[in-house]
Amino acid sequence: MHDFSNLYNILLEASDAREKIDVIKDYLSDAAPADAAWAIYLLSGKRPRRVMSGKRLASIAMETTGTPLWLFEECYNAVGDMVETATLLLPEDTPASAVPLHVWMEDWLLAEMAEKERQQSIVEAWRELNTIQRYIFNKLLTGGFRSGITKRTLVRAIAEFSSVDTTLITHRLEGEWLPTPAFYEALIASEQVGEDVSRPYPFVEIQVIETRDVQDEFGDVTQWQVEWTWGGIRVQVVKREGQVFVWTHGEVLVTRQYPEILGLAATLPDSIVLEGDLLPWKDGQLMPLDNLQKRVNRKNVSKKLMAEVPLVFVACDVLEVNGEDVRHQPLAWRREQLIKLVQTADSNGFHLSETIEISHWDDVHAARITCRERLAEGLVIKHKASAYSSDHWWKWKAEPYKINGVLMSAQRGEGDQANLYREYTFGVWDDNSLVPIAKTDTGLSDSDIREIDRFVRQKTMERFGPVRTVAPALVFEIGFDGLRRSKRHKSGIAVESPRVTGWRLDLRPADADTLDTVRALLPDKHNQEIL
Amino acid sequence: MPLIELTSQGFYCAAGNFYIDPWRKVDYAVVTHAHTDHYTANCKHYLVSSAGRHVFESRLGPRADIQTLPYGETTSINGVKVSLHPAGHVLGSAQVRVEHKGEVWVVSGDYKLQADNTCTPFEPVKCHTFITEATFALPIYKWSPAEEIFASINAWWRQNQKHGRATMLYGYSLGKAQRLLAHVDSSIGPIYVHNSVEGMNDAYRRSGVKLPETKTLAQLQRSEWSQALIITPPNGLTTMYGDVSTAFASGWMRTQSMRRRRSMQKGFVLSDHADWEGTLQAIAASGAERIGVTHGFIDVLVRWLRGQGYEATGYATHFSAASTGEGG
Repeated sequence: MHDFSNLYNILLEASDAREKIDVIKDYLSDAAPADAAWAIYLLSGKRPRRVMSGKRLASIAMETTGTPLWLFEECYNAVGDMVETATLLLPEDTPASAVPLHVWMEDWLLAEMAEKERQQSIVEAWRELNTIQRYIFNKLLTGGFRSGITKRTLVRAIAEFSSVDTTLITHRLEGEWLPTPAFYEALIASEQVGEDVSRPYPFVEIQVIETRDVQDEFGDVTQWQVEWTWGGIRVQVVKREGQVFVWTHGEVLVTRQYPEILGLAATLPDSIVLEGDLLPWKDGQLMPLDNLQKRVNRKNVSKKLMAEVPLVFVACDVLEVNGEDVRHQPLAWRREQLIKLVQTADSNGFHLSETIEISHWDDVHAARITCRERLAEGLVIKHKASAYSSDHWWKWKAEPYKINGVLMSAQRGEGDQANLYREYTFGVWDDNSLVPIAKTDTGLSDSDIREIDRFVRQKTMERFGPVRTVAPALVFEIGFDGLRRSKRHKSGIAVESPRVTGWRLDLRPADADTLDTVRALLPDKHNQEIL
Repeated sequence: MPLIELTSQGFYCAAGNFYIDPWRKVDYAVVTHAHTDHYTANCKHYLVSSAGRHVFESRLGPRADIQTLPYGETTSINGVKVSLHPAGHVLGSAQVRVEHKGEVWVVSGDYKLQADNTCTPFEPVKCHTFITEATFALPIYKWSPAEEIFASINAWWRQNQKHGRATMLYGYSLGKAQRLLAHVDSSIGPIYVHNSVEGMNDAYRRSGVKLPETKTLAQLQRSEWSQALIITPPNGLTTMYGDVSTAFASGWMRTQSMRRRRSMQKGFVLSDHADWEGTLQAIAASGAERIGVTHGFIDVLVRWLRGQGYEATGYATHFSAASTGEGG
C-alpha cells in the first residue's frame, strides 16, 4: 500500500492501536522515502503552513460547481464543517490518484504561486483526486488536517518497522525537522549518526487528580514529593556543546524569546537537560501570571519589556547530567543532583522548585487551601522513587473558583455536534443587564445538553448565524481555574478553563452572581478599581 | 380545489375520496410502500402494488383488507383514475398516478434511480404536478455506483475474517437489508440476520426475489463468529462472542459528522433514496411544471426549483426517516 489517503482512511476506521500500527508499517514498507517523510510529518501532528482560509476554499468550490451562497450555507448546516462541505460539493468522484504525497505537498501545496495560479492549481488537483483525497488535500490547504492517531502509536509503528528503540525514535522526532528523504533515512537508521544536540526529551504528561480522597489513592505520604505549581511556561533547558536551547512543552524552540535563560545557562555545566517553568518574577516575588502573556510569542524582546516583566527559570527536574540520560534514576536522586546544580550555579534567575514539608495528607490538604492567596495553580505530586514518567506525575489543582451565571446564548457544536446547541455563553449581572463572563461546552451530561438544546430552540430571542440568544431563565454554576483582566472581553475579565459544574435548578436568574462579585476574585486586588 | 391536498391525515384526493400514505386511520388508503412512516395500521381498505403484496401482508397482518394493482394498470376510485408505477425504493414501492378531468398528479413516495436487484427500477411518469420527496435534496449528497459500495463491503468482510472479527452491518429491516443480502458475495462466509430482517426476507422470497441463504441470530454459533456477516437493524442487539467490526449502510454516512454520531467504525454510503442529481433528474423526467416537495430538505429544494422556473410548494408531511428509523 502506497496511497496516503488509503492509510488515513484505514487509520480513521481502525478499532485498536495494534491495527493502526500494522497499517502504518504496511505503508512505510511500500512508500518512497520522500513520501514516508511527509506521511510521518503529517501523522505526528505537525502542520504545514496554511495556504488559504476555509472561506476562500469554499468560495473556489462554489465558483467551480456553480453553487449559490445560500445553498452552500444550507449544506454547511447539514455538514458542520466548511472544508468538508466544499469537498462534498465537488463533482463526480474520480478513481484514486496515484500522484505521490510529496508531490501534493511540495508542488501543489507549498510551492509559491500567485493567487490566480493557486486557484487554477487547486481546481486541477481536484480533478485528479477522489473524494477522500480531496478531503485530505483541502484540509491540508486550510491548515485543518488532523491525523487522529497518538504520537505514541506512530512512534511504535516506526520503531517496529525500523527495529530501532522507541525512545530513540521519539527523541529523533522531537523538535524541528524537515520532511526530507534524508530525515526519513536518518529516522529509521539503526545507528545514532550525528544526533542533533538541541533535542529535548519527550515531556511526560502530568495527570490531573480528580478525587479529594488522595490518601486512598496515593497511600504513604512520605513516599511522595509535593511541590507548588504556578502555571508558568513549562520548558526544558538543553545545554550541549556550549549551546543552549529552550523548548516548550509543545516542542517549540523558544530560546530567542527568553534572553534571560541564555544568561543563566551560561553558569551551568555543559551536557545537561533541565525541566522547569518560566515565571514572571519581580522585586523578589511572583508577579500575577497574566503578565506572561506579554512575553509569549514575541519575535523581538526589548530591554524595556524585559525590565517590565523579567522571567526566572524554576527548575523542578534534571533529565541529563554529564551527557548521560538520567530519566530512569529515582526522583529523590535526581532532586539531589538538581539541588547541587542550583547551589553551584551563580545566577539570580535560576530557582529551585519549592517543595512542601509534609508528614500527613492533612498537611497537603492544608497547603492546597492556601493556593489562591499564594497565586499558585495547585500542587504537583511525584513519587520519590519514580523515574521521569507520566505514571508518577500528578497535578492537584486548587479548588476552582465558582460563580452562578445565567445562560445568555448558545451556539451549534462543531463537527459531530453540529445538530445540537451545546456551546454556551453565560452572563452575570451588571446593573440590570447581563454581561458575558464565560463560554464553554464542557461539564454537562448528554441528557442535560439535549434538554438545554430544546430550551434554546423554544426560547430563541435572536439568531446570529450559528448563535441563538435566549431569554434569561436557566442558571448554572460555572467553575474556572483562574481569571485575569482583559480588554478584549466586554466584562473586562477573562476566565481560565471555564466549565459547567452544576445546573442550579434551585436558583432564579435574579439570584445569579454580579460582575462585582467576580471582580472581587481578581488576584491583584489593588487593580480592581481601574476596571 | 387542487386534485390532491394535504390534510391533517395526509395527502387527500377529494374527487376520489381516498388518501395517499395517510398517518391517521382512514377508510381508503393508497400506500406507496411499507415503511412505517408511510402507512398506518387499521385503515378499512388499502390499495398497494401487486409486487408489494407479501411485504404489506407481513407488516399489516392477515386481517387487513389489502387490494393490489399491478404496476401500470389503471383502476377507478369513485371515478378518479388511479395507477401505480415502480419507484425503485424497496420491493413493491410505487409512485401513485392520479388522473381526473384531464389533470394528472403523481405522488412519488420514496424513490431511487440506482439499480437494485430486489425491486423494479424507477419509471418516470409524465404528469402536470409531481410530488417528490427531498430526503437527500442537498448537492453534497452524491452516490457512488452501488457496485463499488458492494465491492468495498465484500473487501471489508474478508479483511475482518482475516483479523478474526465478526462483520456487523447495520441496515433497515425492510429494503436495505435485502438489498445488501442480494448484492454481497455470499461465498465469503455464513450470513446471519436479525429476526426482523428474516421476517422481511421471507416476504421477499415469497415474492420471487432471490436472496442468499440466511440464518437467524439465535442460530449463531461461537465457532462461526469470526467468519460471519451479521445484518441487523441499528437497534437490534446480539450476543457478542468476540471482536467485531461495525458499519452502517446509509446515505447519511456521506458526512463525517453523521458517521461519528452513529459511533460506527465504518460507513458505507448506500441509499434507497435519490441523491441531489437523481432528485432533479426525476423531477425533469416527470415533465411537470408544478412540483410539491415533502420529506427532508423541503425548503432547499423548493427554493432551488423556484429559481429554475418551477412552481414549487413545500408540504409538511409526517414522513420522517429520522423518527422512525427507516429510510436513509
